[in-house]
Amino acid sequence: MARRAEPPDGGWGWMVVLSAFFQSALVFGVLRSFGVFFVEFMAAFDEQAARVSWIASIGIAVQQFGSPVGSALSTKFGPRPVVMTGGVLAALGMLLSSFATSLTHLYLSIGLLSGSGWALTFAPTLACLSRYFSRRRSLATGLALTGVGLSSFAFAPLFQWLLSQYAWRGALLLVSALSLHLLACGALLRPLYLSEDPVVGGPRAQIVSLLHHGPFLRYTVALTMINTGYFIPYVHLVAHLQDLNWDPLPAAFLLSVAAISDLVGRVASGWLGDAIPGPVSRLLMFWTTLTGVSLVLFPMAQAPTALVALAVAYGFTSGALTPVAFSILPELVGTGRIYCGLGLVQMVESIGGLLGAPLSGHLRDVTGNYTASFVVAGAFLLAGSGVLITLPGFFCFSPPTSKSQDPVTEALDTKTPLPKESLEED
Amino acid sequence: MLQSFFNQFVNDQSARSTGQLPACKYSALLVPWTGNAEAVLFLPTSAIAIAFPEYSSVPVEKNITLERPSNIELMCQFTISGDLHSLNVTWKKDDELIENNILNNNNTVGDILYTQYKFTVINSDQMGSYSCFFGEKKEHRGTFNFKVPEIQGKNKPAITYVGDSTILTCKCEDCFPLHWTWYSSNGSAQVPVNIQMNDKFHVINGTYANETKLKIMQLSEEDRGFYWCHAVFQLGESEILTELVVLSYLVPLKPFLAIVAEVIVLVTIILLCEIYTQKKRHLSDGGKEFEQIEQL
Repeated sequence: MARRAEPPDGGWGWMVVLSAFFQSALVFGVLRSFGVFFVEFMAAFDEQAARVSWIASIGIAVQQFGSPVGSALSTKFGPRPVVMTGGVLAALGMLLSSFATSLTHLYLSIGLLSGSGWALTFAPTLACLSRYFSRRRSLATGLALTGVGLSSFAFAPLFQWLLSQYAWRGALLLVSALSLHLLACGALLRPLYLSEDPVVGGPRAQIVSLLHHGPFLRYTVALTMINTGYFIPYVHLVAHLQDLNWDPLPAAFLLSVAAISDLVGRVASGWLGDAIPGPVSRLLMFWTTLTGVSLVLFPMAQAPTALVALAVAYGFTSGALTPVAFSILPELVGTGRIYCGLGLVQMVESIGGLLGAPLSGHLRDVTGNYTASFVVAGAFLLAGSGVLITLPGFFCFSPPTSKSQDPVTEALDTKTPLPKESLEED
Repeated sequence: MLQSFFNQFVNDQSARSTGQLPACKYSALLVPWTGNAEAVLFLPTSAIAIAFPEYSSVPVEKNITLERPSNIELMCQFTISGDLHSLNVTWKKDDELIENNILNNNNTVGDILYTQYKFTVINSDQMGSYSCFFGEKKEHRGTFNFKVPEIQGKNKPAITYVGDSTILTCKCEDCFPLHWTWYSSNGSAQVPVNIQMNDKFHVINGTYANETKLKIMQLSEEDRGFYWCHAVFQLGESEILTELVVLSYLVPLKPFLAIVAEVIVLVTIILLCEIYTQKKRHLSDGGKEFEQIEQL
């Protein structure tokens, strides 16, 4: 059958952006707002907060570690059936959880079942998005990822309202119906056949070739380090502010300010990533360095104005690095291997995320304040951006020969980064 | 001497905001208690004072929370100019003039008039509002309101489903009631909750005496309504209202099915649109196309 030589960069691609927007809202927005349910679970099952918060932790862990599975299946069957199945699984998990009689039921239904549903949706959708765009890839990714931020604003009050009307069982039932919209999101993912696809082979071959791909491995290491430091402020900012004797209301307001600048940063960086010529890895390094610097400066700021400025800076820069982080990958490994690439990256970087928050909490317990945690988080980010310098084409300023790389040549020559891997705007 | 005594109490009282009584000193008192005149009780003694600022025209009030029988000394201080001796100082309890048993130390130091009233609170009869009046003007009045401690329940209704079980809690922050009772409402009347009949209602008293829980199993629609929990003190009762809402599973099920139907409609529309555009392309391009869309 006829295949495209290059991504369409528009057309149906914008519908895929819409699908990715709602899908990231329904996966991460729901996860982020789930804290509202925890209080109800604690009262209903007479359990402590630590045990109840395992529900979200298991869900996130299953989503991230299951990403390669979702990616491999997408490579074989296309993203649409995989994402639709994921949507059904996620909704089913929530549905079963509304009948729970113990905390273990919730671990299995929300954590395991919904988590695997989410694993089958997130990575394949973003990878599909990357295949549909090349020139406007960063903008498309940035726009799609704003779904996470906006939904966190919307879902927290919505879940509170559902709880006040229907108690937690009815509320979970309705959240399950909400999650079922992932099915509609999946239906929008029309398969796209690109000319590179037959060359890179099936999922097993792709994963093997990816694991031998030097730049890909370096990128994964960089992203893992970035992930370790990335979530620290979200987890510890409010506690740090309370240590500085801030009231809860201004502290929550500061978090909202950071969240808004995060949204702005995502879209701005997405637009910027497409507008500026040259390898996107430079932009990622730029934003990551700025994020790391703002984190290191956090403990030194005492005055409220300085803290607000740093929170805005952190929000903007950390939001800015997310779309760029995703759009580097097709440059590195090619759109043919994007599904497996994204799945593997998600799985490995989740180690960073799992380590980051407990590490920073441990540092806080040992040192007594959050200075060490913020500095270590910033250090991880700066180290990650340092590794990014080693990516191919970083220092290349001359226009390369071809727009998309040749995967066949690359499969043969995996150790040496080829100059033609860097992308240039026409 | 009364003035220094008074100033000390005023300073003590100004440090407290709610009027919760501390137990300052204890004294033995012979009190008739359930007919047995031989009982000797050691009661806490507390003193509360009100001070009128100069030329105040607003009646001054103080709320006092009292849990156990106590000796009470009330003091009022009034700053005036002019003729002090023409002022008629009276004490009233709930608008009734107190005639007898007044230890009425009316004392004048400089231009400040002091008056004192001592009594003992043993049961709920002595609770209420005590007022000291200076002269005939209604504004020159200080009121001490004695109340039993308030208990807290949940402000919002407890929402449950048929067949579920739920626990209603009442607790008291700083007080320890003698015992708790639960009532359900039958129309406008309060009916005690029947514990012995079946396994439906269990009263679980918390680990500390300041908390009680009512566990209701096998909820049904008739169980919905208002529940009262009473905290019984020696000096009276305090009650609070909790609402229980029992929903059937149909209530959230209807919106759920509506949303699921909407999702199915959306998916069908999307897939049908795709088949339609594919057919259109087949016809217009005549087989030569860049993108071939495969159906599921």
